[in-house]
Amino acid sequence: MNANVAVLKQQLEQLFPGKWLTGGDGDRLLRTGIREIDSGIASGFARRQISEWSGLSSSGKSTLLRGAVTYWCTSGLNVAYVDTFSRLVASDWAFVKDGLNGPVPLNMMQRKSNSTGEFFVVRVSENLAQADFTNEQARKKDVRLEACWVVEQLLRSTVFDAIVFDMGSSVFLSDRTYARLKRALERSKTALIILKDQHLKPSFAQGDNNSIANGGWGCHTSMQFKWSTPVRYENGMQGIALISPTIQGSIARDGQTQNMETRLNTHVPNRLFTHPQIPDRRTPKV
Amino acid sequence: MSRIACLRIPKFQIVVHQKYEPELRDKPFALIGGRSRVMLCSPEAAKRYVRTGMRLSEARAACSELLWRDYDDHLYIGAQKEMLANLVSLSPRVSSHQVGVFLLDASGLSLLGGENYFARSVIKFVSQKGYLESNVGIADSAFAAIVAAQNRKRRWYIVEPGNDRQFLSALSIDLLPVKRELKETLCGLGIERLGQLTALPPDQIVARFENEGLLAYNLACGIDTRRPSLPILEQSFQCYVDIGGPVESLNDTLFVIKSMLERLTQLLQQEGLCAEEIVICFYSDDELIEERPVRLIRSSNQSKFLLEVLRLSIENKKLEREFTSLRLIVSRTTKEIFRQIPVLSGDENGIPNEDNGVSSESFLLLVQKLNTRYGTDNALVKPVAVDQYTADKAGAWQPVISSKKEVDSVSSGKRKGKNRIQGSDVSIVSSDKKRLAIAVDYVKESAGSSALVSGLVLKKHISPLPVFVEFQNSKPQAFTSEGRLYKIHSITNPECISGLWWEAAFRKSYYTALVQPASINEFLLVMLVYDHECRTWFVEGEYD
Repeated sequence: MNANVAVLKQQLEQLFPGKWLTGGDGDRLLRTGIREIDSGIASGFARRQISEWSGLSSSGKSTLLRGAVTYWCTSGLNVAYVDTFSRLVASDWAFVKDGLNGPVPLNMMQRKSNSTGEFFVVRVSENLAQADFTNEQARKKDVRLEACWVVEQLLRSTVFDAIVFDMGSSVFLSDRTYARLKRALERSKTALIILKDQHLKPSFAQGDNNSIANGGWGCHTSMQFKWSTPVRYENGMQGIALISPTIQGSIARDGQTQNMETRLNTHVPNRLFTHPQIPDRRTPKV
Repeated sequence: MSRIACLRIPKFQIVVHQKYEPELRDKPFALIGGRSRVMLCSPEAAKRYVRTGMRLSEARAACSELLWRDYDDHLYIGAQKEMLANLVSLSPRVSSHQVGVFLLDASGLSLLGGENYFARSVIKFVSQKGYLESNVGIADSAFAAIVAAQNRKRRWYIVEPGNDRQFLSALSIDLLPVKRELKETLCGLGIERLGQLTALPPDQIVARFENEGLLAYNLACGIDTRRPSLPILEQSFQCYVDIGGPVESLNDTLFVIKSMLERLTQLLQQEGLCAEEIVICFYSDDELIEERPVRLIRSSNQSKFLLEVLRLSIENKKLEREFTSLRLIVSRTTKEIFRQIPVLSGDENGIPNEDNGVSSESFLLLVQKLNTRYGTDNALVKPVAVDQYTADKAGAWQPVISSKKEVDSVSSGKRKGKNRIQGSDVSIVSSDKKRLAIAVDYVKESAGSSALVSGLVLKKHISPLPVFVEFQNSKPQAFTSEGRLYKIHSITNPECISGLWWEAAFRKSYYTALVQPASINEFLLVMLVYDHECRTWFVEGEYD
């Protein structure tokens, strides 16, 4: 079926050039392994472009992105994560390189190549805190500007196939910084993904469908996510053990928008089994 | 039923040369290939006893007036593509089969004058393009059409619909595009006509000759999967600038070349291509005065690199005349390879390997830059699992490249049986997977891979946010944080964890709560924690 569609696209491209096909799609785009994203208007993340991946501070976007990072690492691609405010927890990402990433979309594609990519993190605020503060200039450094510098250096290294720039709730990205990043991107083959937390808005200000198109200024592709219903509960012996809402998303590219919805394939993590410890008998359990 | 037309231009290579060099027409002419042998010759040369395979000296001895040119594949492919682009005006689906052989879609011609009219139109069109000799065959299958086009007695030959097998049956098996060994074997068995081959049961042919025998059988029966398709148009990448006045010094025009290159590289990047050869042409009032092809050692689509290459070429050879305009043409392109520099540059065999490989210089430079800026050795880290069971301490950030001194200290620490766990900081310097504190293989065997992975991605707050919690039936119902009320939609049972009594004892109950901020129609999934030591509720992070 897909082959027929590809042939049809090729034939239509001959009749209406430049509308149906773009050269070397398979290489220029980083597929995420998430079917809803790969088969839609985005088709993945474009190299040499800035893509925006946004949502509320808790919206499922990082969980989805971790799925994509796992897919890239198992495909032999190198990924860097710039954690501006050092908020990531190492245990969540420890086995990403091995293809183990916890909750994944139900129809996530699996991939395993001969080579495995690397996943590295730069914890910017922590690095600044550890830096030599006898230097007065270092003390005045802005963590957000510092993160931009780190991203630029990562881009210039031409080592990474994808760089995730977690800006947190800070939306600071001046024209000058943006231009520098774009310039560095042009000389690299990296896909830059800006991970952004949106602020909570009152309900009367919501429902603005144009916000995604306007919010992604200068971005090749813009994606927004949020938790949604139905919420899946897994019950333990004494009540709810796990809560897993559905993730709802909206993708915008070239003035087109597409909605998506994905459910997560979750399980109750069993840390006590994984990390056996000597029981502490002095402190009673609640 | 589909109908396929085959256009065949005999001695295409000869005709191409004669088309571009009219002085070669009606003269004995030969194409010379490897080791000075005649590859092809014109009918006039053939009349004078020049044959293919002859040495050039022999051919010249046979015909003293013989003209010759080198066999030029590039020229024939270009002419073939040009012809293909022209034939689109006759049929929407056109493809080239061999040099000088084209397949055209001839379906649905009944209302357009019929197949005879189409064949005549093709021959007429081709002769207008300079190829005077041509033959057309029309049949149901591509193979039958190709064979029909080889008929020398008629300019066009049409095989009636459904008669391919009958048409082919009387013909020799030499026409089959299969290996010579197979043909000789068939002749040895007394099968000399295609009709004799089709009379055999196909399963016996497959049993004896496998796939090639089946292919021969199918072709003889008129079954051929080859179809003409839509031609893929080639995009040309070139730029022309009229400077406006005569310029003598090439260095004065570098800024023009730079802007032209930027435009070209942008187009190449859009198409996912790299330039392999660039031709720079200099004009003086529309007259081409010089053409310089620049072959690149490695294909590229970076304007800075290409400019440097062109600058070198320009400086190497001065122009003799002044010029008024110039043209840049990307004459050869290759597909761009989107491969980054590997983190590990590889072992002695060049194979990247975590155990034997060394970090690539580009990566080392990056790490050095980051470490120097922050004055630490752990600016770039990677996550590893460690032997702790609280959510926030079950992993640690490990430096990607450690200094030798630190590795040594850990090695000596290991020998002495010391642990380096201090408070919440766990230092594991080894990059070796085998030295992880968690027995990964044991966990995988006992509980499967899923036991290793965590839940949703947690993003910790920089410092835990203290909250006021409201209860209903001794269960948290809502909480207030920073002046905003969050209604708890659902909450899990607590995961009560305590430990580390030998360092800083803690007792905490971890909840996962799906909350809804007041007057906001959105959900948040937060980690709500009750600290039994200080009897306070906190939001330690959010699941994102």
